[in-house]
Amino acid sequence: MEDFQYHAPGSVDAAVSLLRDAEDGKVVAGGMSLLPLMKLGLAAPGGLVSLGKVSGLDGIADRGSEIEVGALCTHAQVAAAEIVRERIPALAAMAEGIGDAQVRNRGTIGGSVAHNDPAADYPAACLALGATIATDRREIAADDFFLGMFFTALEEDEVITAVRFPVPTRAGWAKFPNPASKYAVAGVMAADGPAGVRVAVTGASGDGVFRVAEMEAALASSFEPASVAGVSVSAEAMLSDDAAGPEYRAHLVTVMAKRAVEEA
Amino acid sequence: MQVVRLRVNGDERACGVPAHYTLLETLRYGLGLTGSKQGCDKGDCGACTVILDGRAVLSCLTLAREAEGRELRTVEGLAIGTEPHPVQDQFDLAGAAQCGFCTPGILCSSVALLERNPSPSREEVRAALAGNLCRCTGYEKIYDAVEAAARKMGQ
Amino acid sequence: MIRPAAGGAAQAPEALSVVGRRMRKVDGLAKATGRARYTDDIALPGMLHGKILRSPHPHARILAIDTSRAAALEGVHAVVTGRDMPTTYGIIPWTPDEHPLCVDRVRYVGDGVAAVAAVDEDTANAALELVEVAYEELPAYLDPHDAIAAADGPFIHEPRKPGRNGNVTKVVKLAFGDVEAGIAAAREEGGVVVEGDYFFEGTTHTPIEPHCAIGLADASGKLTVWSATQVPHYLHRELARVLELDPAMVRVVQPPVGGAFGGKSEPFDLEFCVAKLSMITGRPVKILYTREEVFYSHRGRHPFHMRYRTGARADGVLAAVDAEIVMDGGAYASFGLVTTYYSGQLLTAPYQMPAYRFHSTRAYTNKPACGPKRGHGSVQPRFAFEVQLDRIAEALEIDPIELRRRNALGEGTRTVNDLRVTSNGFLECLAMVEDASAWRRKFRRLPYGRGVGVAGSTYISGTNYPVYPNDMPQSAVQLQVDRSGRVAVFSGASEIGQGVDSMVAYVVAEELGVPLDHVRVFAGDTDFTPVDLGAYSSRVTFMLGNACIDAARRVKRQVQKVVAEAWDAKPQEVLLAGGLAVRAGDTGTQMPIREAFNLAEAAFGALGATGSYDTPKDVHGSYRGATIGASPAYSFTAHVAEVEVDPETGFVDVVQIWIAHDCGRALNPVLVEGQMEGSAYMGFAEAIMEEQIFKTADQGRAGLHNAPSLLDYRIPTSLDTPALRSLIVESIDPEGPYGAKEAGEGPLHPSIPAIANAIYDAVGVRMNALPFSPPRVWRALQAEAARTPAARSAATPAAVS
Repeated sequence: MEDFQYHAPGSVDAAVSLLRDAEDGKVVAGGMSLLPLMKLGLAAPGGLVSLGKVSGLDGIADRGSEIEVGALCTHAQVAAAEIVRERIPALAAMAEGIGDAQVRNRGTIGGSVAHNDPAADYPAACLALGATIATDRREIAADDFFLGMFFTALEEDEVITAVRFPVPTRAGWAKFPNPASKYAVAGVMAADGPAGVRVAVTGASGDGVFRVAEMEAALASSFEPASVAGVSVSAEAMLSDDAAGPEYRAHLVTVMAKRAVEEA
Repeated sequence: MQVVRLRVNGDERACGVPAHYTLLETLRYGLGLTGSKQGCDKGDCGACTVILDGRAVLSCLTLAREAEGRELRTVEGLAIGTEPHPVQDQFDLAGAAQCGFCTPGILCSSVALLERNPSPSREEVRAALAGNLCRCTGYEKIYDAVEAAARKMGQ
Repeated sequence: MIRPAAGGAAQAPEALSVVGRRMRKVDGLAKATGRARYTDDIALPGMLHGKILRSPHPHARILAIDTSRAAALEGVHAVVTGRDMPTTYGIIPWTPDEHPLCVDRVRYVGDGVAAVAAVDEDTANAALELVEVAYEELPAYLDPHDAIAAADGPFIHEPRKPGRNGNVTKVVKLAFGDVEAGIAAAREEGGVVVEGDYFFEGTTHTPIEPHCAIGLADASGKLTVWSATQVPHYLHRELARVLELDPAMVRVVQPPVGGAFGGKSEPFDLEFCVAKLSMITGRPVKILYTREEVFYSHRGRHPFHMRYRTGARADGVLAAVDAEIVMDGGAYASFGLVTTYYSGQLLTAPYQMPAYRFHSTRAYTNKPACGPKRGHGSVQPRFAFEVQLDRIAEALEIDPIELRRRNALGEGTRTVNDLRVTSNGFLECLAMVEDASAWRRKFRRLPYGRGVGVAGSTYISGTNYPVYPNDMPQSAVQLQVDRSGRVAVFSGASEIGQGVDSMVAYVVAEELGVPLDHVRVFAGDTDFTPVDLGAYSSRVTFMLGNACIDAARRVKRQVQKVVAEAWDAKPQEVLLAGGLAVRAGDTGTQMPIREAFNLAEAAFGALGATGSYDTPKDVHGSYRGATIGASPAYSFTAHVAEVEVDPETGFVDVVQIWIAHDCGRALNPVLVEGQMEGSAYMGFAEAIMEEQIFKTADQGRAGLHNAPSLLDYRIPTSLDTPALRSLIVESIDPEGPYGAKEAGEGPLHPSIPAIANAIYDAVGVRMNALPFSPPRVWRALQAEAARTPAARSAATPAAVS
């Protein structure tokens, strides 16, 4: 890795001003996404602003109609949290299926959402549940947040502080994982909640997480696996890699959507 | 260069390392604690797994500075005096270490598991070790060892 | 003098007090406590760090290299290029086609062209960016068929004889019996002839420890190289030859190796580079491969394109087997000469074949060289052949286990290609997996999506010749007894995790009656151990085990003689066991073993012995090539795999593999099971997950590794790996140490065809190309569904003519 300036501020405000001052500054929380990129030379930030010493961002709170997850909550925390398991079990199941124990012990929701890896799981949960991403300066609806592979609505010096998930009536998660890495080849969350009936897909498209309107319409009239079983997505927009070609991925989206509804 | 201060295996240690050093590089090259291994250096193999505040983490994806002020244990710190930790002993008995290169990381994952869940099912052991690649054993003997250690520790 | 194998068949198991028990390993606790020091754990004073610059092109001429800017960088101590080490080498002495660093041509993306030594890795990496190489790109071959077709060049290697195709590294054509007559007879007599094309994708070893080496040239002119190698002796020879040093001034030290599987069984560029860089700088130099470099250095499983024609009579008995194989060898010969022979020679057991023919061609391509991976050369044909057997069984409506039983070769016999077979527990292996898996309740009886499959195999317990011709022993140890009762064994063999150091201790403890923890094994250092050829071709237990027995029994005879004199008994009445010398039939007459040793030392002088082993040379035929594939003994294996196929996604969940393996005698069942489970795991991995593949020009950059990381090259985690159940079969080989044979490679083979056959049982599709990845299985299911039931029934007889 290239050398960098390391900062560990004690507050979000201090982190923001350090980011503003740093030359090509980056926030680091768990580091599970950023450090591999730095090691591959795909990222070479001049300054790293660690959130490790910022307190108050690692809680999970029941806000009635919403569950608020602090940006520094690890995947392990979300998976184990009683509130999440009771009120949005699909979200707990999703968090439990991320990577492996070591990744879940360090990787954070804020990091995952900010990174917006096209094969990451959280973007699908945020989009399907109609989550709100809270930052140091504003609130962003998930619909407006994920702008394409590794690309979000965040400003360069903006820091996520929490993600708020409206509690759905029902929601289900199904993922076809890449063997070994457990990244999604196709992961689908189907939810029926305050934001309406939503189906969000991760892992399948090079543009990152997306919603499937036709499936949502079918589920809105009848929230049954059979409703989506006949709905296919176009193979044209699908990713192609070693794990799967575009046609197979498109097929998986339908199968996973069906299974997500079954899980709900 | 920067000075990193770590509390590792009960000792307060300090050493000067380049700013970009990970926890793994600091342990191995800064402090001479070579028990933790580098298999891939990208967070994929788990051979570098250490226990940070009771949790199994990848030392190759953790910056050394991120471990400051926290309780760190490595494979060298698992034994109690001259007695190997029950998991270490059972690994030896069961033949769970062949080449032994993944073993330090797997031991750390196993110990972290048993400290939270003293009598895990085989499925729970499998799930806890999914981040540690072993190329020799096919994992069966590793599960046997972890389960046997859990029984010993429960006695 | 080399004496014949000590053997142990005569020894009843109750007479053994150490061998056969479930025991700890001698290095188990060192490995479990982080104390074992692997190569990268060694830091020498003043050590420099080296890095190797690698070719970005799959095939190019090197026009010029300018290292001046790199050499001038602060912190850089030396830069070397191919011209500094111009001697070619190769693990097989007849095919030396490699340089430590390329001299005038690069042949794959990743081929080394220059190396630097600097104060730290960061500086070394920075220096590499300052080395300027001018290349002239050449046409690249990525497919072996294309390379073979280019008979007039351009060639990847210039032909050794004018007029030859320089893209062909080896052709082997051998025929035994009348294949055409056998095929015709099968057709005419109501039997069946099954034909099929199979493709086995390349895979790589992926030890968790990356290759690492340290060189130290000291002021006295002596060179020491520490390396994560599994062949210290061959490395020793090649270092001396290529660096033009007196071999007596070269020392190779092999620290514990963090996995090898064949991937560290020949010299690599880093070993020559650390040596040369140290010779220039006078300082120790270390090179540690990145994980990416491990993928590029490769030497793994060859991709095989295979066509098989197999005839069987109506009763299922084989009539003829005909094979044509094209092998993708990559850029260098490596062990390829042997691989080409093995691709055919090792198929002739465990089944009797009245007629057999194979024609194997190994081609060079512009990709990392392939070489020996666990089950060298025979895993790919075994996959194809065992699927062929499954098709024969189906066509003739014979249970596949029964079909295999009917064709079993038996013990004390010779194969169609004249390999001598001694012990053979194959039938017992079949019976054990049949029972343990509840085969009869499951085969063709499980619901759609679930199925079982069977496969058998065999493997060598060492090769009967070394890679370079000589009449010296293939394995040797030196044993020394201290007055305290401590026994030291100096072993040249390579501990790579398989437990060889422990095996040495078990054998010596068994023979001399000392407690296991009084045996110290010193291994892996050419300065103080006799030569053992290395950890490859499953040779170590058989050969080194016999050498240990040889050495220990020499000491034992001396001890027995003096104690017998003291007791006025016959030497054979003196038993050494449990830390005592005891008189047979009179346990009241005994003395501590230490006293017995002291009596012997007083009588004979310092107590010690050497022991060695060389293979018998009558174990093969006399035709050209007959020696390659011949072994003093063969292991046998049978697997049943049970799978659950998700028809919607094509995902194959291998639920369990039952592994029955005839290892002769299990010297320590814990270690044998570990080898069986590890082998079956690796076979499963190749069947379902792994592929070492490269991009084509259309995909961006020709010859670029598709996934040189453990994130993308998918090796199984605990969650992926099936339950593995080991069932040990002990046939007690007449020449093996206490009857032991190999266990480290044979049990890999059947995993793959057993899984393929189980998939067929589950969902009715034949998987003829590896790996059986979800998209591939899904496509096969789609294709199957697209065929109408009428077309399906019409197709069945066409497939078997």
